[in-house]
Amino acid sequence: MLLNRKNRIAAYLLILPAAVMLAVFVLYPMVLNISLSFKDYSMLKTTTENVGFKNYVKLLTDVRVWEAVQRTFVWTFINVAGALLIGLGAALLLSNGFKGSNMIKAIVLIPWVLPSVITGYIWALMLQEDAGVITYILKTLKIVAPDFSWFRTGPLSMAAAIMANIWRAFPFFTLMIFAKINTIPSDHIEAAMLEGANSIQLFRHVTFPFIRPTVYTCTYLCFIWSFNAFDILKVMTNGGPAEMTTTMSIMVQREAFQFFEISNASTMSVIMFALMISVILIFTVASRLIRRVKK
Amino acid sequence: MKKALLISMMVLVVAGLVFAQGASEAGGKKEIRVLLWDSTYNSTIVKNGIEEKFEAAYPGYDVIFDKIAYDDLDKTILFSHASGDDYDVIQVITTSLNPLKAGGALAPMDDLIKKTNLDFSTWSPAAVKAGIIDGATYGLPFDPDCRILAYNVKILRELGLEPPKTTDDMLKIAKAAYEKLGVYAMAGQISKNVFCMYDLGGFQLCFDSKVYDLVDGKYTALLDKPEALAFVKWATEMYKYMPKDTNINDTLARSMFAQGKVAMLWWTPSQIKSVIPQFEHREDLEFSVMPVGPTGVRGSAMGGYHWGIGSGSKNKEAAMKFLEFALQPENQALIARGLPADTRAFDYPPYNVPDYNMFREQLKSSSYPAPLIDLFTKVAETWNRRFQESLLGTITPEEACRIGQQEVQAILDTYKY
Repeated sequence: MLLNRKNRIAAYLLILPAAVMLAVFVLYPMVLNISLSFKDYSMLKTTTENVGFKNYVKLLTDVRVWEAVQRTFVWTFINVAGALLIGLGAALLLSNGFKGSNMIKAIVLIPWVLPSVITGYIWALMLQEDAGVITYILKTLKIVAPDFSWFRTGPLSMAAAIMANIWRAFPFFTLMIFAKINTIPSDHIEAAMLEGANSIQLFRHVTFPFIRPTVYTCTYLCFIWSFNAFDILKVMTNGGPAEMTTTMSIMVQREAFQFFEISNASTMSVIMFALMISVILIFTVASRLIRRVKK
Repeated sequence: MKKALLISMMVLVVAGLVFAQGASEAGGKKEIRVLLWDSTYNSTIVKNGIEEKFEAAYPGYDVIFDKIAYDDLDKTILFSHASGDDYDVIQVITTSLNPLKAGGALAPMDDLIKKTNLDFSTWSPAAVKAGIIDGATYGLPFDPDCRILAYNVKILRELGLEPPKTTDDMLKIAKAAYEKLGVYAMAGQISKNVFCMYDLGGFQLCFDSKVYDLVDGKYTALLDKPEALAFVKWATEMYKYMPKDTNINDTLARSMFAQGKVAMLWWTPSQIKSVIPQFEHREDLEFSVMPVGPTGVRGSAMGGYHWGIGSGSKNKEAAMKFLEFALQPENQALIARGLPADTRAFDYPPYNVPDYNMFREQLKSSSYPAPLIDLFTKVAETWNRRFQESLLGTITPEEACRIGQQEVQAILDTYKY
């Protein structure tokens, strides 16, 4: 239905507040951030000048930045995969409607509603070498050596932080997928069962195609959140030991608020943004191509 | 109707302005805005009634304290300066003096100091010097600190060993405590960026070595010197007997020491108030000055805080009035969390007790771990990675020093003289 002129004006006026908010709080900071990446703005200097692509060249030729990019991808992919698998499994389990599942549904939400800083502190305490309950149990059961520590090496520290982040993120998948599973028309399932489909076939040919859009959306969101995650790593490892868990988010924060090199931080965040968008685009295009080939 | 609305709005604006003006000079008093670390505020300013004492001595002033978390101190100073809302008095972390001055956040204080009765002849010369940048005073020390060595007497007795006098003695104790009693040698948060400068890194001064120093008028990395390598080897050996949790926080490390799970600890003055009460038997705790390194040098890393005045402060005279009051020996003793900068303040409580004697002695020969230029934090962060890699055994001490030398020098080469 076409809107007349008066209604069009009213429509524009109604979206104006939202548009202004977006312009002020999203668009302006983004543009400012990009413009800062072409300057040498530091809070520890009283002068600023344009430097063109110098910041990009400097950072893209810095080994530490590439190491951080690598770590960011490792951190992100393991987190997304872990949260997706556990979240999907939990959703399927809960959808069976066993006794007590309602209570579990409520409990499962707890990690999701906790602030990530609190999650980081809780896990750091539980995994702590001297007084952590998890480490204590592992040592008592002689599963690990008496001098074992989760925060002794880079890979172990990364694993500890990933565990904490997956624990926090999987309820999101569970909740969203569970809600979608509940909307699967029962006649689809009944028809498949009448055809003699076993549970794996039922999942593959009925359940998964139905929940696929939700899984994709949740995966994209989890990818963005994990890629930008800062709090848990900051609290649990502070990027250490020896920078072995320093991701790009940690690096951006360090440049901005420890070294006060605002232009470096801006450049890094632009690179981060470009990388993130590239990955999302590659996945979107790849999944479309796969679907087209299958058809 | 419109006219009435316009008039009422104007009245409101005028009233607001008048009220705001009144608020900044409440009751005709001049406001002094002080930004400080929340721990300083809670543990000394409030506890000792500094605000009340100052306002009683100077009835024309109203001092307002804004407290902030340690990690946000520099950020808040720079952001308040960038937004033109500078504080009058600022607590500055000593290692941040140069960066903040470079960022234009601090005002030179020499002309203001001349109008006070402050006499620096009895103050720690190193701490006073740290506040002077390019020949002008940008900070006045009020809370410097240094490290001494604390050890658990009971553990040493059980091992049949004497208190450590040298860095080699420390290694002997570390090995014996870990292997015979299952007790850690020392403990601390190695993922902290200043770990390589203070804490375990602070012992580098005992090896007559620094990460960098001013050599022939140029800031030069010194990690390629044999003394630096000897220190990194010593630290790597020591770390074998320390907790492997790289993110153990300092509070927990100190608590472990108080519980008898750690044999020795680098000890800062603030721990006297916070850690000693945790000891079940006070007699288990003993202090000594820092150990002597292989070349006979005894070094102790200094840190702490200075007072500064915001460059955009509109009340610089008033700010100095507050500082003059706060820096009197008896008040300095009440405000410092670490040590007072003025040696005369050791005659006042709480510093006039034997627990502080060792610090008083050590402070005389203490020095900052490296020149406090604005690149200090960046150098520390960069060197800390290689230092940690050596401790963790992922690279050798030789490699750590070689790579560290190149990386630190590359940063120092960017210094604008």
